[in-house]
Amino acid sequence: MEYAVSMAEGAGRYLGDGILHISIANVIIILVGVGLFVAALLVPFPKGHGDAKGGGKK
Amino acid sequence: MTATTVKAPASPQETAGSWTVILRRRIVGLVPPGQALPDRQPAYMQSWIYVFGMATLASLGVVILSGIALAMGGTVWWHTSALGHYVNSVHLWSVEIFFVVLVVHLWGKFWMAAWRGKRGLTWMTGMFAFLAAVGTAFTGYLTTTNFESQWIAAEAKDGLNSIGIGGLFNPLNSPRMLLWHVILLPLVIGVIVLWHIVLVRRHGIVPPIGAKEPKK
Amino acid sequence: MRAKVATPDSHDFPTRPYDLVKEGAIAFGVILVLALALAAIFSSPDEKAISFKAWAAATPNDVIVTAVSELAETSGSAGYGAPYNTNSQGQTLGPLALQRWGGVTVPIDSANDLVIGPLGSVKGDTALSGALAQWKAATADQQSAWATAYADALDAAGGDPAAVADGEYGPVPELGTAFLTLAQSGGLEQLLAGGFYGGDQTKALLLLSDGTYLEDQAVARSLGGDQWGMINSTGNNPGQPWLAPVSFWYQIEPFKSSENADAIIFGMMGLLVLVVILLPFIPGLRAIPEKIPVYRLVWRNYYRTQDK
Repeated sequence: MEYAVSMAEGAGRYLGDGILHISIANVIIILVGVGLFVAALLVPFPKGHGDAKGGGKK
Repeated sequence: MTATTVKAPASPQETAGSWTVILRRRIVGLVPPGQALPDRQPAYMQSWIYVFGMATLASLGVVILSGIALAMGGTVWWHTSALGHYVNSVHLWSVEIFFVVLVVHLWGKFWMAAWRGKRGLTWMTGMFAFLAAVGTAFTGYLTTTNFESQWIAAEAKDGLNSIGIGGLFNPLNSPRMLLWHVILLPLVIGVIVLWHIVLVRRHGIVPPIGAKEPKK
Repeated sequence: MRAKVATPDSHDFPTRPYDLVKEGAIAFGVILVLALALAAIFSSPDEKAISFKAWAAATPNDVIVTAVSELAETSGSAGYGAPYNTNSQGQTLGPLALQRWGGVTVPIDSANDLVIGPLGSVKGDTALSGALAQWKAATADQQSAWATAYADALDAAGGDPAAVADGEYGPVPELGTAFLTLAQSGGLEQLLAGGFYGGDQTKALLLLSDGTYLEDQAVARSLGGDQWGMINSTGNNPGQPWLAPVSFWYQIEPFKSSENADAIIFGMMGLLVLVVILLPFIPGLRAIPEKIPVYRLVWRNYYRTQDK
């Protein structure tokens, strides 16, 4: 059907077709999540001040 | 053994059989002494993955605060006011952040097999909180009173009706969805999250896989 | 295989200083600033809701075709089944007729609730009152015959009422035109809204979904079910990507073209969620993290000191 207003107005930018169809915004959100996870595993955690002490129940 | 047998210290003036005393001892005994707000943590906790639980909680805080600000303006305020729209944007983006850090937290706990040592219920409450959050986000979209809420409601009704719950939970009934979004589901999330945190503090952070009891 | 070691009490391990409250405060501050900044930069979507007036202005013929389909009981809502009516068995999950078992809890009579009722509220239109009187006086079979004949004729004419061939349509063409006029007037919302304050959109949204305009608008924005629409939003905004594990199934066969896709996918997801919730107790699955040593990265400092 013909519309007075262009329907693509509110359509965002998308990648791919069919099963790989995904919005750029969602790709970014997902990649940020994956990136944070990988970074959390790989980035060295700063050594805390003060040495480790023995078990809490001692 | 995990700390499931914590007993609160008896005070000398306690009256035996007092309901109040029983409840107090129950509450105090939920978490080992000093572990509710610990100022020390196990030395094996040296990874950035551990900050994502707190990040999830913090973003939930921002979600709730921005949601309260939106609620004060009412359902259509944000369509007409620039400030309202900005508050709506903060609410949306805090939700996106919330889910990103929540999922990283969830992946982290999975790969650490964090349910070991009688922590199964901690994992389960975490999953329940996740599901309740998904439902809350969904009802949030139904509450936006714009084109998107119309379409999502129209689509979601088919899914919910297909399993017979579209009457009990009718996504086309916008005021009902609003109440689910701002009262019922946040309450459910609040209770589950509190339960989840109590369990985390009660059992402590799971030791590394294969770790043996340290020499005393 | 690793010998099974009982998990020791975490409180027995060496500790180091940690400030829980400070961590929480910093986390809150960082996320608050991030949310404020992202909101300022990217804003949030707010495409105006589709009013009946807008629908009537954009696709007047779709409004008439939809109204006639309600009268002919061929619309989506008229043949829906539970929870609106008993005109269809609805979706089933194998032998489980969950939809039907849910019962008619939101009763909707599409012809009367969505079209005839609202038209009856229009005052001062004698042609319309005559058409309504003729409709109401007719038997159900006669009503159905008129409406079906007109619906077929509209279909043959490509949905254009002006191009419809003559036939036995009774008052149906009049009713369709009057319904369009009512939609154009902007008064239809109020007549379909439930409750004193008019918040319940059940009837309004069922009517809107029975037309093609709403879906066309959604599909143009990649919001259709088989376009990953469940996780998408309007414009360039992120949607609900956490629903991707649900949305995925709607992209592939046999679900994509199944009449029972919703019931099957919801059922499957229910099962999957149950498995994830009960993961700590499922042998094999719960051992995955021990087999794929991602944990070695998390606790690399610990294992390094243990190996010494």
